[in-house]
Amino acid sequence: MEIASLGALRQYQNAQTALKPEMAPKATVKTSGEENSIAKGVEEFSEVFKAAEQSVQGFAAGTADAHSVVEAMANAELALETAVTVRNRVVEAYQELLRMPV
Amino acid sequence: MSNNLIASAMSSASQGMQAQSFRLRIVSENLSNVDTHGYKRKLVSFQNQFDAKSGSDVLSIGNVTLDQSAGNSLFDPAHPLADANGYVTMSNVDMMIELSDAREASRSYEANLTTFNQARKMYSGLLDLIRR
Repeated sequence: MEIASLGALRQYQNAQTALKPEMAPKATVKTSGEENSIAKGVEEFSEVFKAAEQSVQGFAAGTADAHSVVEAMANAELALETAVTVRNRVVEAYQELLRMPV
Repeated sequence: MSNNLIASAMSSASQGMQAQSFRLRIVSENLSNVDTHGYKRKLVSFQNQFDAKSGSDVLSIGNVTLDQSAGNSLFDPAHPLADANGYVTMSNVDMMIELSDAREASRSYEANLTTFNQARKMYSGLLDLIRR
C-alpha cells in the first residue's frame, strides 16, 4: 500500500507542475453562456486537485487514511488525463483549420 | 469531476476498503486478546447510508458491540483470578472464527480494490478512444 501511495504522490507532483499555469486565470471569467460552462469545468477540475492536495496534507498530518489519499489521487489523475486529452483534441482541430487551403 | 458515475464507483470502493481495514483491525484486536481473561470479543457491524451528494448508497461502519457469550472456564485453582470453585474465565475468542473473519475481510478488500481499478481502467479506456 505504501509503495502505491508513493507512486500516486509522484504522479501528483508531476501533475501539479503541469497544472501551475492553469490555476491562475480565474479573474477573467465571463458570464456569457458557453464560456461560463468552460470556466465551470476548469473550476471543477481545480477543485479535484485541491481535494487531492487536502487529502495528502491530511495524510501527512495523520488525519486522513491512505484509502482516501489514493482515491483523491486517482480522481486527480483521471481529471488531468481528461483535460489533457480534450486540450490535445482542441489543438489538433485548430491545426487542422490552419492547414486548410484558402 | 464530470464523470460522476465513475467517481462515485471509486469512492464507494474506497469506502469499502476502509471498512474492511477497520474490520481487520477489530479481528486483530480479538486475536491478540485471545488469552486475556474475561475478554469479550468485539463485533463489527456495517450499515449502508444514502449519500445525497453523490446520490448513491455508501457503506458506513456501525457500532462496535461486544459478544456477550460466556468464555471458556478453565480449572486452575492456583490462578489469582480463580473463583471460589477454582475456575478461571478465559476470553470468548475462537481463533478459527477470527481467522476466517480475517480471510473474509482480506477477500472483500481485494474485491473492492479490483472494482476501484476496474473503474479507473474503464474511464482511461474511454479517454483512449479520443486520444488516438
